[in-house]
Order: sequence, then C-alpha cells, then structure tokens
Amino acid sequence: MTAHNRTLDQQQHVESHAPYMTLFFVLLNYTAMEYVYAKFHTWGSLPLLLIGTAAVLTIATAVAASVYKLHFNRNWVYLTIIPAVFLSITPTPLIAGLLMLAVIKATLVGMWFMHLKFEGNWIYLMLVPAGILAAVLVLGLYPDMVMQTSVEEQASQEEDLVSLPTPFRSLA
Amino acid sequence: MAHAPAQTAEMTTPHAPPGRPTVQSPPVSPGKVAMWLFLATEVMFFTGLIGSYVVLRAGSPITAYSNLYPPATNLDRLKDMKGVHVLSSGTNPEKREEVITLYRTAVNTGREPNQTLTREQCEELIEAGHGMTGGMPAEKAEKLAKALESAGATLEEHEDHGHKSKLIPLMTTNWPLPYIGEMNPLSIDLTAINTFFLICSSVTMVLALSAVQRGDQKKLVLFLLATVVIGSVFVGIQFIEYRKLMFADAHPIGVSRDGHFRPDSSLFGSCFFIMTGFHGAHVLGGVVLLSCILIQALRGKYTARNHSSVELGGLYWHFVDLVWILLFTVVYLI
Repeated sequence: MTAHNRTLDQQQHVESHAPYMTLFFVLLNYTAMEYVYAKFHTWGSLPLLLIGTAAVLTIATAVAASVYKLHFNRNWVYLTIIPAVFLSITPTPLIAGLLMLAVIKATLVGMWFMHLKFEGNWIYLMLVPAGILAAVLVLGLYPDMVMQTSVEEQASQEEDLVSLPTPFRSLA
Repeated sequence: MAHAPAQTAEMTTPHAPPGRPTVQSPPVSPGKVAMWLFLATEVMFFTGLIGSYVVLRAGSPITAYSNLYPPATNLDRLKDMKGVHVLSSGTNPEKREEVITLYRTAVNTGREPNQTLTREQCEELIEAGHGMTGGMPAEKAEKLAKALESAGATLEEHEDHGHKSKLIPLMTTNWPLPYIGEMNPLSIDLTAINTFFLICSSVTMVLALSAVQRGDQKKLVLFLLATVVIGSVFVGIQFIEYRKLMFADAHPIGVSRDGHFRPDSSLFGSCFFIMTGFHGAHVLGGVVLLSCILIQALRGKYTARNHSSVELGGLYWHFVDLVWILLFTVVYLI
C-alpha cells in the first residue's frame, strides 16, 4: 500500500510503529563517524579508525535492537558500513566526505522523523520550488563574490599591458 | 438513489460508531499544509544563510586570516615578519613571571589601549597552547626568543628546508580551518556533544508523537518533558559556548584583535554568530512551543484522534534538528 491510498488511521498506525530507536542509533553512528573523520582525516590509520567506529557502533545497535526488541535488519548495517568503507578506501576530499555524511543524516531525519517517507508528494510541491528559488539566489551571488579575484587579476594584467611602451605590448 | 448505501459504506472510517456513517477526513489537515508552507519559507531562509556563508567563504582572499596578525590585516608588506610561539612558561615561579611579562609586552606592542591583554589572559593563552606573539621583524623576534628561552620558556620549533628555527613564519588562509587554534576558536568537542543532545531530543519528540498516536498519555507527557529538558540543555550549552567565545576565554591574535571572539572580530565571526544565533533562536522558540504543548498534554487535551499540535510541533522541532546537522558540518567541521 502506498502513501497515497492509506486512510489517516492506517497512516497513523504505520507512523507510530516506525523503527525510531534503531534510527536513533544510526544517527549517533553517523555523528561519531563525522567527528572521527573530521578530526583524524590526516592520520595514516584513518580507515581502521573509521571502519572500526562504524563497526563497533553498528554491533552496539544490533545488540540494543535484540535486547529491546527493536526493528533491525541488514539494511541498517549497510547504511552505516558502506559510507565508512567508501570514505576509507577512496580519496574523497574531506569537505565532500563530510557533506555526504551530513546530507545522509539530514535525509534520514526528514524521511523518518518528519514522516516524508509516509506522506504524499504534495509536500515536495512546496519544498522543491522554495529550495530552487533559494539556491538560485545564492548561485546568482556566486560570480560577483567568488570570481571577483580572477576578474581583478585580469584587470591588473590588462593594466600592466597598458603601462608598457607600445612596441613591447605584444611581448608582455 | 440505488448507489447511496454503497457510497456511504465506502466513506465510513474504521472508527466510525456503528450505524453512524461519517465522511472520511481529507488526506492532509490544513494545519499540516500550513506548517509545511512555513517550513518551506524556513528552507529558503536557511538556504540563504548557508549559501551566503559558502559564497563569502569561497570569495575570501587567501590572506584574510593569518597566524601572526588579526583577521583582514593588509599583509602586503608583512610577508617577512616572524613570530614566537611560547608553548610553556616553565615551572620556576619567578622565571615564569618573567616569561609572562616578556610575552605580554610582545603581544601588547602596537595594540590600542582598549585592546591590550591582561596578565591572566596571557597566561591562559600560553596554557591553552595559543601563545603566539604576533608579527615582528626577524631580528626583534630572535632577541625575544633568546630572552624567553633564557627565562625558562619552551618555544615551538619551525623546520624550513631542514633548518630548525624558533621563529615562526607568517602563514595565511582564506578561512579559519577547524582544529587550527591560532585562527579558529570554536570547540568542536563541545558542539559534538550538543549535536548528540539535539538528536536525542528529536528522537524523544518522535516517540512522544508515536505514544499519542497509540493513545499512551503517560509516555506522551514523559517524552515531551524529555524533549523540553534536552532542548533546554542544548540552548544552555550554546549560551556557555557564546559566553566563552565572547567574554571568558582569551583568543590568539589570529582570531581577534582584542582577544575576544565577537561578531565584529572578523567576517568568520559575524557569519558564525548570525548562523548559530538564528538557529539558537529557533531552538529557544521550539522549547517554548513544546512547553506549551506539554502543559496541554498534562491537562489531557490530546488523544489518539486529536493530537495535531503535537504533530506540528514535532515537525518544527525535527526541522530545527535537520538544520543543525547541516550547520554543524558546514560551520564547525569544514
């Protein structure tokens, strides 16, 4: 049954039985990974540290899930181990790696805690245009603010050209 | 007319009293639509803030921050200047006083009277590992290094092409990078703990909603109370962080001209306080909102069929958590 043809009661039942506690452990795992990745990214033993952190916290999640009878399956394991392995074995720049972890975390919060997973697509009709408008505003500023240096450099080069005697301009 | 009974049966909800057909509710309540519209405006607001931060950071010149001069100093004629980094003032109390006096004199040279550091601030800087003196000509720095060493201070050694020296060269960056204490005063450890608290509060909030959806009043109150308490802890820790940055702790010259990290210290300072300040105001507003919902929950206002305030309050709270996840990465970790 999709989110579109559920009654309110059915939707409420699904929402009230979602695996929130398991998700809590996954989010903590991600926070720990972010911290370790940012602090020790220049260390030679980062892969061991990162995968170790993810593995230890995933095992802790699995143990907590079995003790407290929480929903837990292998997808939750993949969700934490795959990013840890990816960041360990690929030369991902620090900024890209950290943004990847943050976006996954934010997506999990949005999908599960804000119930986007259970809602219809009508929400995206509001969020996507708002996001696009905001992004356009920022991207519109980008050339003026960020590419200003290169324009200045170009201008100074042109100034140098002008200041040289005419016969030497082509040599500059 | 023959179709009427069939239509009524179709529209009857599972919880309708027997013999009393009710019209099925619309799929989305007007309150939820209104909340999501509000959140859409919030998406625009925070995208604007984070996007402006990214643009300002990317457009910042490579010489905007340095280890020897305050932010935004024109370094064109200061490239050959050197500094001395005092790692320890020694164990002998008399000698130690001499080291701190020498360091203080060096740090306060050239500063405005209202920007000079006190003896305590200088001692704090050395103990925190941020005892950089500021820029000066190489000969002067050499003399100072010798005087400090003869007074028992331990100085940082800089290695350049295999040659070790006690003089630290000018190093610049376009933005204060994390874990570089000479330019970035933020405590990532403290904020990581705060992030942990906010995630916990998001979980307790969703558990409160889950409880009321199942008609469990006791757990609703318990989890709402936990959310309000943990949210207040977040605000409290942020208040402590602001106090340490703006008033309590002394910061090295690469962070600020007067030893305090405030919105007017640098572009990084104003960006930091605007972004985290607006988010903190949202958290504070959320705590007040959830406190009102908690009071209503204590009065038994919410049931499994009527709990839209809890759901809408929760949506707002999770959004604030989501924004913090991004802010923590963008402002603190990157």
